[in-house]
Amino acid sequence: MQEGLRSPTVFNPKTIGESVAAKLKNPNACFWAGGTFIMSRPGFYPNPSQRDIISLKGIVDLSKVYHSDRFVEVGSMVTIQQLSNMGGYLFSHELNDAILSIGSSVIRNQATVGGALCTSNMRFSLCCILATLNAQVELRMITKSAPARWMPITKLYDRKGVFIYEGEALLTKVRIPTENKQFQVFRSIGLPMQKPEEAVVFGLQYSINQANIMLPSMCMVFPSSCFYMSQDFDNLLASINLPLTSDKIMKISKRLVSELKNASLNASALQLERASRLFESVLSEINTTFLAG
Amino acid sequence: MRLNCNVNGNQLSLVVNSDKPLSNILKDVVDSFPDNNQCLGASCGNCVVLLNGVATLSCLVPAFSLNGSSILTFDGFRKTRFYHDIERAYNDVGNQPCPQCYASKTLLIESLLIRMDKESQSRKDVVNLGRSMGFSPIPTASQGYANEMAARGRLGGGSVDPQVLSQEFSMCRCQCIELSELEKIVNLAYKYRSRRRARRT
Repeated sequence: MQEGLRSPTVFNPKTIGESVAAKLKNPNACFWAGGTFIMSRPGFYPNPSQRDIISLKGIVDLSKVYHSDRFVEVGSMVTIQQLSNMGGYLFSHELNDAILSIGSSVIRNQATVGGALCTSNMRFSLCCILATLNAQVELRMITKSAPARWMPITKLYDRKGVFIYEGEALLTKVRIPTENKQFQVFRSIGLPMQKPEEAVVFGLQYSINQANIMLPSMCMVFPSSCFYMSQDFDNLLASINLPLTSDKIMKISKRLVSELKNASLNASALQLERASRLFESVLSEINTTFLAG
Repeated sequence: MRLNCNVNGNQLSLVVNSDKPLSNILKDVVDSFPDNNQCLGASCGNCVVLLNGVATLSCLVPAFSLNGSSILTFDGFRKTRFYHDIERAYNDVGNQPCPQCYASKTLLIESLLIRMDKESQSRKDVVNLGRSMGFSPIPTASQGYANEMAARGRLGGGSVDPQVLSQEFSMCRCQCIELSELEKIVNLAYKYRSRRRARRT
């Protein structure tokens, strides 16, 4: 054992109530899901000021999966590998491919859905994917009565992508709608985990009816600096008529970049350029799909 | 905290910090555990071990989650008969990973073979279940299942999908061995293993 290092106390609650009670008693302790993000941070070990740990591994309720005709409800301790295994049967090919592309199976076996959504200031592919699908999450507030609150996933983060409820709530369930729209696009450029300042993650789902994009839902994520999902921009997409001219594509793309700049002051020029090119290519694809009938 | 676990077949009882990563524990316990995993959590893949039969990055596993688990490092794995299937496949293809990533890539291949086995077994279970229930068009159904799996980029039919392979090895940045060669190696190793199992049964 290294000198001066203290071994953090590990709590192993068996129910959600016990985990909330443990957090109330030890406000400095952190919830521990898969641990892939926490342990991959530089300086995790050895660290003299390591916080105590509330391990969520033993809570059976958090590993349950419930499936109905309209949605899949997964506990926050379900691993991304389990989600992709189910996804083979329940989700579209595009969505399942996007989940598989989050990482190799070595990472997917360990990383959990809840852990991926609750990292403090980094947003990864899964946030973008689930936000695009308009998934809902259940939070248990860290108070004596521990009330449960359902909310859209977008409400968990501010525009910079910082998790708002850190230390205030425990994410217990995620409800993913399975009634998806006609088209889904999920793209990721760069390495979100290794080089977050260069990576861009993008998701869009929509339907095409006659010459209009119907009910679009778009999400753009810069892992360390921006979580962008705007009703106004979705409305703009819904208002355009197909087919698009190249001028129109450029115009919408410029509008997106200016909104991303407003949303995040720390976005790098490379990320903005990538976001712009990615969005243009997706609009061109929509055009092609429409023209091909 | 006191940690009881099995490392390469040896039952160990250690006193360690609860947040100490498995890779650091193994460096103390297993003499030949690679010391080249200095990626600081960037998932370089050099510290892969089989934790309860599943390939895991040991730098991402804390001590407190290890009680009662079974850990197999490359050192332990190379003494098993399963290693020889992969070694034979390396020889047949005429290439093998560089010494730097030999251990990690071999364990990743082993984990892939275990997954292929499971997928194949679950396909057989579907067929057997159908037979036991008296359904006649089972071959068609199982073929449909196999096609579905293949279409969804999974493992099926005794050969590995290149897309799955590129995802599995995406964390290894060392380009010492090409993906097409890795595909041949995995398929050959799987074939040797299946033959060995058939002989034993």
